[in-house]
Amino acid sequence: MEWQPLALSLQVALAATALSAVLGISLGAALAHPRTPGRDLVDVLVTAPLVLPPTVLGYYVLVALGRRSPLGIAYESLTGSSIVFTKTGAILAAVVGAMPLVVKASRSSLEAVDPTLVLAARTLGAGPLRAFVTVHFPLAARGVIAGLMLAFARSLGDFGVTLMVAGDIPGETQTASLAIYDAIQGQREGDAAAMIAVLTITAVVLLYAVNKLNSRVHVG
Amino acid sequence: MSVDGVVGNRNAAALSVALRVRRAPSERGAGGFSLDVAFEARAGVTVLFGPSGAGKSTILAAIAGLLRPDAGRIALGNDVWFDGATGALCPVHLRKVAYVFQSLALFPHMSACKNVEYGIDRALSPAARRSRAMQSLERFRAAHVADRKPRTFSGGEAQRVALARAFAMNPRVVLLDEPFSAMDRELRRELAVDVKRFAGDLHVPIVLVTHHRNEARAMGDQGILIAAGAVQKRGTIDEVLPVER
Repeated sequence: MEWQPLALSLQVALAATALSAVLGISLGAALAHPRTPGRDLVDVLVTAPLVLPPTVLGYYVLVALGRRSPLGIAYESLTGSSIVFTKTGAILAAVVGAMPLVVKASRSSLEAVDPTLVLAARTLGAGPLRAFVTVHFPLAARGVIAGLMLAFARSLGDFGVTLMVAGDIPGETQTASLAIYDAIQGQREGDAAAMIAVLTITAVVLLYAVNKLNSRVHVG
Repeated sequence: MSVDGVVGNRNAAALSVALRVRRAPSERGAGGFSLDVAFEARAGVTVLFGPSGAGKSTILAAIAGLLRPDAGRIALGNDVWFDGATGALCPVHLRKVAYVFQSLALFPHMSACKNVEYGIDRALSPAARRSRAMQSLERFRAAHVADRKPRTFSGGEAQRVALARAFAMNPRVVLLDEPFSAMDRELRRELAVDVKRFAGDLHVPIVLVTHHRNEARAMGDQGILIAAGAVQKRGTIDEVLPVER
């Protein structure tokens, strides 16, 4: 039984969830604000990864971050290694699939908070940031956490985009879902079994927790 | 004729309001909306009286800074909060306007005491803020719920905490939007007395929106009758809402 792909998956998923949290919550908050320009367009662009084929997404990421792209060149001159076909690439590949879930969850749970409560905070002397941090966000936190858990589950299982962007390099970018594919291809089903079990249990437990979080309306 | 001698206080800055708000009729056929009013509110309770839909809540929102009028001027003494001519607009959180919303808008994730502390000057120490919050809760007879969260409050308790929160922030203006609407008559009278007493100590303009005639007469020093988006009548409460025979 190989533990390394699972450990790598866990590492990638945690990093991808953290990155998705920062980007996704900010974007979700911006989209929840009624005066943000171009909200509908941005929402579509951010949500598209949920429905596009992984190969198409992977292609875009390669174009954006590949060794000849401006971002790829900048990154390589700073760190000495490329983004694609490295662990960084695997993390970013996972972010592409996971972030939309955080954006969606953040936006909808922030929009579900009674706007009067935020206005009340403002009349009590809170600037926009303090009102967000102390009233608006805490009241939406349950939904945001549910979104983050889904994002984690999604990152843990990414296959297509990771394969396109990071390849399938054992010890470097071979995450559990890629290792399962290799094991089945090589007729080593025993190697795959444990990883399959771990990924399945993790997903089921996370989804159960998400449902719990979403069903309890609010707080107290 | 006024009560408590609050009206005569010359130290407190008066609130002067002149504003115009227009909303075009919506495509779904809902009627357009037009509000054009001007009045002054001195220290004491000024009642905005009139039928629902007359624009009373819109006026409060404009005074608090939650809504930007299309034109006009809103000032407290020499502080200009909004001036349509110059484009000046003071942000909500710098106005120190206590607003008791019709829904009360208590923060559900905070205890009563934390709710009240929220509006108290953050330069004070946590202990000082807590003790000021408790003082305010005591004045509105809600100290017994200090450590409980809003979902456990009765209607009257929620109302008391909301009032305690508004008055504890040391406001320059207090806005009360139908604050007693959910109360039975007994409770309403009791709270009205508390508010009236607190208002006397505070010496700031208090604007109360209501469509209850008795409440308006019991609470008001000044009265302003609003209908169809315009001031129909203003003066002392007895002039505006004389005793009905």
